[in-house]
Amino acid sequence: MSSVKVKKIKSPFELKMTYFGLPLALLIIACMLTMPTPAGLTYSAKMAMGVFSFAIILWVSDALPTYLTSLIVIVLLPLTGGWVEADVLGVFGYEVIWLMVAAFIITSGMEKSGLAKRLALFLITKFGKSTNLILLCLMVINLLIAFVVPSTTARAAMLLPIVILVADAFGVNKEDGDKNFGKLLALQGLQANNLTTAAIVTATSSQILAIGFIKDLTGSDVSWGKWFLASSPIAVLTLLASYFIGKMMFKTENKEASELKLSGLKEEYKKLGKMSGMEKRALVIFAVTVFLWSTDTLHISMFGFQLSLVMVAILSAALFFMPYIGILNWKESSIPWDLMIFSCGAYSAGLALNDSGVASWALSSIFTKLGVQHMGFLKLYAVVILIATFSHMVFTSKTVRTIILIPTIISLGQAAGVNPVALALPAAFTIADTITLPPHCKPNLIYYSTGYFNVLEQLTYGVLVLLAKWALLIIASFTWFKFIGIC
Amino acid sequence: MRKLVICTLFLLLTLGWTSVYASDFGSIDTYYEQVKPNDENGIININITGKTNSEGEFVIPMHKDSEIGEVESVKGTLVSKEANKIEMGDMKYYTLQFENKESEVELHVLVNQEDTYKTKDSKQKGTFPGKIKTVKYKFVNTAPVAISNYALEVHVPEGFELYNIIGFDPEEPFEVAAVDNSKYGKFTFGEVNAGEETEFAINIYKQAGAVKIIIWIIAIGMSIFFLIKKKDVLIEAREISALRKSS
Repeated sequence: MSSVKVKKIKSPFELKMTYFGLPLALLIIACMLTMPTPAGLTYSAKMAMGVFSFAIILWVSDALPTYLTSLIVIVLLPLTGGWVEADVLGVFGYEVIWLMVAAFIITSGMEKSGLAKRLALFLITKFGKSTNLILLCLMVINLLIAFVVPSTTARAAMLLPIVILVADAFGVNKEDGDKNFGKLLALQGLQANNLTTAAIVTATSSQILAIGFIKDLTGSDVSWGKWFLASSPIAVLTLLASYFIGKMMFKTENKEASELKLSGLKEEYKKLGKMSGMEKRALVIFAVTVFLWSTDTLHISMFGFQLSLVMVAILSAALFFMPYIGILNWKESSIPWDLMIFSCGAYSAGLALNDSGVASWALSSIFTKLGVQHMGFLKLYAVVILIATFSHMVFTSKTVRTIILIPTIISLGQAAGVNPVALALPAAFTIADTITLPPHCKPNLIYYSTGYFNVLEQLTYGVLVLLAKWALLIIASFTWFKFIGIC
Repeated sequence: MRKLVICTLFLLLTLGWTSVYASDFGSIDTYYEQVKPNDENGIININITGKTNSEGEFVIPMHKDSEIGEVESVKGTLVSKEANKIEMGDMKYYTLQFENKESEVELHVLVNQEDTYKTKDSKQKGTFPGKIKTVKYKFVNTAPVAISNYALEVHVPEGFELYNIIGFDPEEPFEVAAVDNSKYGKFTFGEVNAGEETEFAINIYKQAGAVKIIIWIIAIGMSIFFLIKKKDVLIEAREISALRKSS
């Protein structure tokens, strides 16, 4: 993994945000600490919201280093009453943090062995006629593995080494490298991870929970095939939208890789020759890891025990260190601790928001204020899907969001006299769309750890893509969904 | 084997007796308590729906250290507004006499309870804001019948903030709301069997007035400090803008 850190030249607008970010964040937290608590919230919830807003301003404005903001968040949450100290500190033991540690060890092993380089060079020489093709290729890989690996986090951990190596091969980390290509690799990686999840109901447990609610509360059965038929075209079109929006936001050279450069890379690929012993060992460890990740539901019947996603990753990391089997020693593993600290703070702020009830309060307040019960179907549908799409900004947990959102939407549909499935099922297609900020889901944190993009870039790109998906879902409501009998 | 038979017979007899016994007391379908402060004491407004027994009697649980202040019938006709205190061993409850036998009734009961709002320092560990107090409300269903649906709201004393509900879980039926500027925490317990005890606790908080001033002094002071220290960033932004315009 490259350790070259490149100083980014900020635009005047970004510099102004850096300048005003901290005073603004301080004023927000002071307001939150001294203002009366809203009716539906506890004092703790208000402070969780205050600390979250404070952190978001600092992360987006880049007024302070992200890890420093996280350290402040870790202190502020218990100090202001936003969350209990034991819970805040406990985040360091969360599976996402361990998963990131393990993922970076696996990445280091893959890199040291040369296997990741071989894979990256193979991808580039085979499909890498242009940067566009590489990006599209990674999106397709994301979609394909979603069928076999039922975990967004595992898929992110699996593709991280490839993303880093492709970026390395394209010289993203060099002083004069194409930084935008690095941004696209990581940002489209996380977006593809989340967006493809929506195509396959079994790709995350929250979607299974959503169809459970739909069945229990409306009596309508949504099969795997029905979900796929309805959601996959939207997912594919959103991926395309993500691709084009990304290309517009982050202009890459995307010249056809010049013949000279491509032939140089081909030469380099040829030079790798046959797989070395080290590569073979890395390949076996990686294959075992992917096998265990993709067969997690069969562990008990196959082995008589269950290995969780994070334990598979830790086992894999252990195998990379194992004498005679592995290929790494501790000094060779590069774990970005600043990003681990950032992740802890970000995750704490998000979880505090969730656990204190801010999320459900925000949702019911929005529904009540908009008076959605009195709207016509299309208007109601558009508002509900918009709220569902962006609800992940306050609900960090997909499960909690599903539990609160889907039954609420079903009762809303029933109260408004429209088919509740026509609202709830498309809303369920947005459950995995957690692409706007790093703490919103584990894959975001994993990709953020590459250091290729900042919070503001993720937020802007994510919001635009989600608006595109929202528009697609609206169009689908009177076209595709109508044709297949959902709306 | 003999022991097993004896035990089974005993169990069957007990269960049979209990169900016959329970049906003799009618039923309590919903039991909603609204607990409000009166200094350290509590005023408990209770709305109850249920069914009277064959004698027209309706049973209600008895709160510890309390007395009934008011009884009002919303549905059904009360023979007397006086509640009869019944003590059967450990069981203490009230009965109310209705004219309507084996029929649905709805009533409103006001209970005054001592020391409901006697607070204790909250058990917080590590880092936390000071002056957090705990209000703990225990309810025992002393009536000889189960309550099918028990829900409770505990209001916050004036001048305090509802800091949090102890054990709050967004996936459980907790609720935070306010009526006439009185904030409360609510929980729906569901079924509460005869003799079963429930507990609901909230933390309340009072921020000292001086703290607000200190917070604003720190926030404004730090903002000014960083605005001055980082002014080179603004200069850099201006320079880049000017450079871009000129080129």
